[in-house]
Amino acid sequence: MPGISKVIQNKIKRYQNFYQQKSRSPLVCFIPWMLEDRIDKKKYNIDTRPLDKWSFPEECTAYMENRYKITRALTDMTASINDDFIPTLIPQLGTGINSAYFSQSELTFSNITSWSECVIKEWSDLDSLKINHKSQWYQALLSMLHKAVSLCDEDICVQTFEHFGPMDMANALRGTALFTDIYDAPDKVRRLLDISAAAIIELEQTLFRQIPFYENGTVIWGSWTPGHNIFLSEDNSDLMSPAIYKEFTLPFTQKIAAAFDGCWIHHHAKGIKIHTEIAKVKKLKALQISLDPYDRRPIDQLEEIIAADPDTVHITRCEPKDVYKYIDTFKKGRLIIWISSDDITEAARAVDYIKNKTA
Amino acid sequence: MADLDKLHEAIIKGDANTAKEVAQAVADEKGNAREAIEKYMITAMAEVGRRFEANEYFVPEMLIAARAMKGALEILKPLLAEDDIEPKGRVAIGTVKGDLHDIGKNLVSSMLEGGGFEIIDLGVDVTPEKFTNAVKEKKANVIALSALLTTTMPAMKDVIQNLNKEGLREKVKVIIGGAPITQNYADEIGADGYSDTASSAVNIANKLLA
Repeated sequence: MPGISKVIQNKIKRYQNFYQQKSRSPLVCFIPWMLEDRIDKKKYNIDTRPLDKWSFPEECTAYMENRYKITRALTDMTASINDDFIPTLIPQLGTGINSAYFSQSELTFSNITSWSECVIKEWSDLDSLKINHKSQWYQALLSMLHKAVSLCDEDICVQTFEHFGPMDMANALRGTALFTDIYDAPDKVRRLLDISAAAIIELEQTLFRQIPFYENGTVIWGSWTPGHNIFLSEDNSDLMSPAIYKEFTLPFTQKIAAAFDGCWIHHHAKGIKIHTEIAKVKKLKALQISLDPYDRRPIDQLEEIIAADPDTVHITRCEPKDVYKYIDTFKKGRLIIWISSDDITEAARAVDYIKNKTA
Repeated sequence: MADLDKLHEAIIKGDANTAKEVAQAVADEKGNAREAIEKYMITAMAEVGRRFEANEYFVPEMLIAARAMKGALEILKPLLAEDDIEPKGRVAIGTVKGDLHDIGKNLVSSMLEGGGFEIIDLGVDVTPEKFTNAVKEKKANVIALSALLTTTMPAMKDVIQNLNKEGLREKVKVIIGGAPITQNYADEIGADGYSDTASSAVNIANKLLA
């Protein structure tokens, strides 16, 4: 297991200052996902098969190796950008595995993602729900993480997993019926959430033992956080009311966060109305909000987001042109700004602009 | 006498038991089922749609309201047949091939049913041939296609091409929706309508069949 480069060490120092000083000078990450099509596939010997053309779980470590090559290529392509993004390798096979390691159900693969079948057909099925450590998807996860750790070099860090939050896990296990169960069988839903939370905690504890503790912190989706923090997604709660989030999801998300030094939560613009409820999670290290096609972009409502939760670390994405428009807003909150673009020069200019104007 | 205001309220609140009780009372009294549906139930679902768009209701509230509507409809529908009332249209709805997401499809389905359309729910991961068969065999005059993923959007075009191939395109209106779908995409693939919300799907279907 190699140490980390000076470049990464310096980036982590910036995150340490950001968290220690409760800084209102934003951190800036260029997110290189839009550059994947421009990678020199031959040079990096990258397998271009879509997800559904791989044989899983047999090829899961080969797939992980391919993800490493892609991450390596993107890291090389963006080396000149003076940002705070920490290249991160994460074991993942589409979202299906986020519950399949637990439900042990079959995965259905499409070219970019996967699904697992819901397994709670009757509430009595809850009694048999527990992690089977011999299940093929649980084993696949362990071997992918092991492979990721063995591949990572001084420029690329490893994240344990992209865990479903408790409500996302409950939805994957129960299916769409969960939405009406909230009214029909609230106690059963709570029990399912509790079982899900326990499984999520157990998996993270197991996986975390395999990875480096980066300067006493955790790297999640390209950002460093102090201590051992868990990634959680709250996508399904975005479809529910703030009251339901508070009553059903929050206690279990809180339980998971409490099992570690904290958590890093992902959700979507569709759920902007629950953003302030999520921000109430104690030991929340960062709250990331992704775009949705029909909803107002979070970057365009950043003033309101900051005003509602001025001390929460918010992460959201923008284009380079937004940087010049919102530069004054960037100084008001505790922000990690993601910039996405397929133009590296333009992105580098936007990163430098933020750094210069907010230092 | 059946309390139709109570029926209206029960659907808005998603109280399926009360909705079915009142509907049963209408049936027992041999009351005016058409009036109950059109003046009280469809308007209730329209209010549910309004609350959904105003962020007062969310997916759980929409689904329990739809369930209450469906329960009451099942009781009142047989009476409609006696009145020889035709549905506004027959909609074959499904999530396209390769896509297993059903929440959006279910919401649109509920709103269309609440809006007086007969629903043929083909489920998820539906092949173009199944949609075509619904037109051939079940006389669907509207096809509603749902997709959540950008990667499954092209399957919508496959459905339209298959309808063309089978010579059925002129017999059916095609409406599409889902997170990645836009009016431009609808125009590009030759769909007749596009909806960005469950409730506006009803207006579009009404317009297309007018």
